[in-house]
Amino acid sequence: MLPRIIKETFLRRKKWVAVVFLAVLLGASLASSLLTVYGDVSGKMSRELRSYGANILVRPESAGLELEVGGISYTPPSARVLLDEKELPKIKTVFWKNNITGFAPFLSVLAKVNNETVVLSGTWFEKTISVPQLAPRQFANKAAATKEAPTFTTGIKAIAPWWRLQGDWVTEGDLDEAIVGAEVARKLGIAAGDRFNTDYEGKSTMLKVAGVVTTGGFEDSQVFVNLPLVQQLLGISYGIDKALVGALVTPESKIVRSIKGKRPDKMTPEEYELWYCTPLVESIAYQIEEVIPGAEAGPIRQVSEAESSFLGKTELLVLLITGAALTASALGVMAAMNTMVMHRRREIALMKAIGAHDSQVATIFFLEAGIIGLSGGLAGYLAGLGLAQLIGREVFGMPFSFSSIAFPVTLALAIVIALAGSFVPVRRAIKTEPVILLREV
Amino acid sequence: MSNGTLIDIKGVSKFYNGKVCALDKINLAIGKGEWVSIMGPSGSGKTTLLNIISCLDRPSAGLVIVGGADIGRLDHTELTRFRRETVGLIFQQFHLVPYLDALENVMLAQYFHSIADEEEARQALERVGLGDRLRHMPSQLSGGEQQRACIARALINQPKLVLADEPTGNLDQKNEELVMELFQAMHREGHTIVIVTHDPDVGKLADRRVYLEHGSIRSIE
Ligand SMILES: Nc1ncnc2c1ncn2[C@@H]1O[C@H](COP(=O)(O)OP(=O)(O)OP(=O)(O)O)[C@@H](O)[C@H]1O
Ligand SMILES: [Mg+2]
Repeated sequence: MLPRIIKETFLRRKKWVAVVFLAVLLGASLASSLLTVYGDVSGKMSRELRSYGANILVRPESAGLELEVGGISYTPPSARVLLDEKELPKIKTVFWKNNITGFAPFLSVLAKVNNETVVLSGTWFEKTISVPQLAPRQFANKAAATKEAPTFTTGIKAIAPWWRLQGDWVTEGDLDEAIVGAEVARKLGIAAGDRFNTDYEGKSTMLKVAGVVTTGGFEDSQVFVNLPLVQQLLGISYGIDKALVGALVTPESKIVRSIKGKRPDKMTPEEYELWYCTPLVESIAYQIEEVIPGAEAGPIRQVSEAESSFLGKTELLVLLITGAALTASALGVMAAMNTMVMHRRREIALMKAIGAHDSQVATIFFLEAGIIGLSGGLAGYLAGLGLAQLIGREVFGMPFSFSSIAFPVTLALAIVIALAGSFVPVRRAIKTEPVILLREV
Repeated sequence: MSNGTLIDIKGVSKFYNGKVCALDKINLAIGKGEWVSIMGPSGSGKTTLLNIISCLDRPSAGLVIVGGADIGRLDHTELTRFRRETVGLIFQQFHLVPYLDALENVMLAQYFHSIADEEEARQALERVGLGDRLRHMPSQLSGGEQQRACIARALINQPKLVLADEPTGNLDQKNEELVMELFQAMHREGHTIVIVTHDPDVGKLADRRVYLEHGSIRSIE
């Protein structure tokens, strides 16, 4: 009986059903597009944060004076202050050496490829180094004394496990291969296996694309090669701009309040010991400075903190807009359902006169609203997906990926809008007195 | 009134908008299984009285006791249940749901009462002579056929009390006879019937005729 009544409502009250549907659709599509955009943007951003994997940046002490934009040094090569990559293995000797997951050096130049300027970054992909035994004697085990120095494999592969690579890694030591960022590959129209020519100050190098990397971050617009190639281009035998270090650290919030934010030279000996022996990003950076002369090491966490607070604010904004949109849409549902109830007063009165219970009348209207809500939610989700693509293209200049959470959330929100908007009209419906049936003809 | 009183109306008055006195201290007892006609000139309060008995409307003063229960004291939910369990309503304007066919209209009353049973609904319509009109929409039925569908709907849940407001008012002679035969059958089956009518021929069939005038009972015969 119920399906019959509801079917007739949909057939006979098309106009108001359509209005309710539209109200739900508008709210749901906005909610769904914001969810998709927000989910994707925050995903991309936190991916970018993680893309450092690395949480400590090691630079030459005086590098602060250099002109650097977007991680690329614009200082003329002759004036550049560089670190010696041969010092890097010492990072594996600090107090918290076992917390160091990896590190990679970087040396970049701006090269030309087909008249496009690209960043050519020299680095280690997967390099095995031997760890110097500088640790105090009491920590060195007997085996180490007799055996040859232990080795450690590091490089981009170790600190950037999120790199999505199409093709292969560059073989360590192979100076003819490169990993090309997705953006560069797209611009130049090249793929894994292709060859391309780079030009730096008249020195041209033919490179083979080993793989194409996608990270969603700055890597997408760079070309990565083995470090010695860039050093050759610059005419130097050693030297790097910076190194990124990945270390497992304890959040600062875990440590005692009194030493939070204190500089090591201002601490009491007890505080200093506690601080030094806690794997904080600052204390590990400090220990790295201790082992690499002329280096300045600092957490790159400030960036992520700024970004996470930005994310928090964006989240609030998205929630507010979504909330306002959903409220407006629920009000629209309410107005339309109210009109529908008004138009059906006689029908309701008749149902009640022949014995319909309040809950049975309410069920009819809530079910109708629920069905419209569900279909409005479905349509709204699809419309929102389209809207999100539009926003992605027009505002962010990139397409958004499908968000799996947006679908169920949008459907649930749409049904909630439809039911919440029907609440007042349904109350009105069940209050209808059956006697009006006899009075109004 | 051999087998007890079903409806006991005591000092019932009804004022519309606080001044129009539609009923003035009515006292009336109706026995179980009795058939009572309410007659009188237009505006004398017949429909008002019937609406009060059927709980569609509440009296301004006085008591209405049906089957021992003071229906003035029932709350909203209990009134709905009372209407559903005890009363079958037949209207002058039929009031079938326009978008449901005859069979579905009968099944709707079953659905609100308990569960829809198509077979039972079909039999009810066959009893009122609409066995070949089950799938007709109300607009495809004649007035007499609509009234018979309405009667089938009123009787489907076996109500103790059947209330009808001018059930033959919109019918021709032949259909009036058909409908009155159904009322006589209901009466034989033991339903208590209260019927409002202008028609002396219809009134004659009842056990008693109550004449109203200006909201008061002028005579009972
Ligand atoms: N809803 C209402 N509001 C105000 N007055 C009303 C209302 N319903 C009925 N009345 C008045 O109450 C009186 C009794 O009306 P009622 O409908 O009971 O008469 P009736 O006997 O059924 O008349 P009829 O034979 O014409 O149907 C009339 O004077 C009528 O105008
Ligand atoms: Mg009347």
